[in-house]
Amino acid sequence: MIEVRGLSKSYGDRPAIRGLNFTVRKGEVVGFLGPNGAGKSTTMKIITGYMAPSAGEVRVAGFDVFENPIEVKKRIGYLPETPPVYHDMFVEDYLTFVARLKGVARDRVRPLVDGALEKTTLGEVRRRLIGNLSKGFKQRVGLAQALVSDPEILILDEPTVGLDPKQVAEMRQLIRRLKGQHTIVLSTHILPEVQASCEKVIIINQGGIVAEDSLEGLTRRMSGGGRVVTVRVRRGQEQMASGLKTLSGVRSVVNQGNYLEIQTDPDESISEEIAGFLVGQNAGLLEMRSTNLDLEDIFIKLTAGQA
Amino acid sequence: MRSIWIIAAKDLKNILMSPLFYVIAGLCSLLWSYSFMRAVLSFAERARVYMQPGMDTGMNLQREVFLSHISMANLLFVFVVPALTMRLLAEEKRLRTYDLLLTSPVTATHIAVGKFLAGWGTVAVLTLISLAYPLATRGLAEFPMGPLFSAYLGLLLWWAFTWRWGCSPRH
Repeated sequence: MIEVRGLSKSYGDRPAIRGLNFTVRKGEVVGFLGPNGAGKSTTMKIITGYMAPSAGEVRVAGFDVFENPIEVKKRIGYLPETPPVYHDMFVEDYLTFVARLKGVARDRVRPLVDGALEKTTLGEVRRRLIGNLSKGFKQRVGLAQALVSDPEILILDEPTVGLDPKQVAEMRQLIRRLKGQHTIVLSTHILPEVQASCEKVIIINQGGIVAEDSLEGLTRRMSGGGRVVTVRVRRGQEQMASGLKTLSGVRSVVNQGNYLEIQTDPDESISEEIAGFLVGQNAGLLEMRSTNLDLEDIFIKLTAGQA
Repeated sequence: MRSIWIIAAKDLKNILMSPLFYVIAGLCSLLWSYSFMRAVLSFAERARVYMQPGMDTGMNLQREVFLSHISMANLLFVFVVPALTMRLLAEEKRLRTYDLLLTSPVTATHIAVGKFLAGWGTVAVLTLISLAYPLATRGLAEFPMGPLFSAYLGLLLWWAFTWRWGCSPRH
């Protein structure tokens, strides 16, 4: 659906992105992840045809963004970082304007506007001035604007930035509901957001892709197929740490002060052995948790020392 | 083609619904009402004095009243039109709604022509308001309509040129 080949962009002599390559397939929900200033917004702006790259090409649904911008723009709904709303327009009029601007046929405008209002639960404010709405509502109007032409592709640039926790939860729910109806590319620097909504993750740092995989694949790869077990004991944390190292299947034990972090082989029975060992030593086992590496660890690992 | 009208209609509607437009149109009407009334009254006074039966004094309503009225409208527009239309593009950039226009299936030409038509439409509405004065004079005196309408057409075309020049990024 979206093919990006060798995409580069410089602002003056400062490179923003360097030689990006990736593909997004139809129906995928892709999280575009990176620290601030990594080049996420720049990439999205180029895909939407907002600005031209310095080198490389982007194809959307088979159309080149620069040779055929009109065809590409018809298929994309874009929510920029700042929702592009006119403060002196009514919500409903604004959405009607956007739908018509996006080339929606006259008889489909009405149902699509109603549909977008319903999906974003904006029905109650449809006759209000956008300028008088709260930040969360404005953001939702921005999302409704991206949805209103029923585009094949949705590009959302930090859709939850500046929202309160309740609104963030609502926005995520909304994005989950949109899954399956659109191909979604979502950028964020907030990790749980990707975990909550995305199937595939592209991590970008300092203008280059550092990882591109499914969420599970990435987790598996980064943890080397192993698991992490954290335990908290009441007594003899030091001795337990050295004792645990002797168990087969345990790769390393790190004393983190309050708890021990144990890297193990992927086999689940090792947890049983660890528990047996601690109980046998009468260490006073308080807590034991088996975790896979989460996205946050992966992200920190990948962008460490640079971000 | 359709997107030009969509952009133009949206912008024209926003201008015509803004309080600023009402303030400006109101002030213009106030000024025109005063000056036009003065001109008509003084013309009528002179006409009464000079126009004896069988005499042609060469007095001309078009030249002596309407011409000054149109010149004054033209002069007012120099200050009023930029105040109304300067925000057409600048505001889009400030509110970041420019992003929406640039990522919609429209070309730069569509946007530019749409904005031009919106600005010109605003001038046309103000022009219509000023046209109401000479038209109202029809109730008091007989005069040919041709020269009046061609003068107003001229005013509109002149402002199409001026406003287009104002839209130009390279002036």
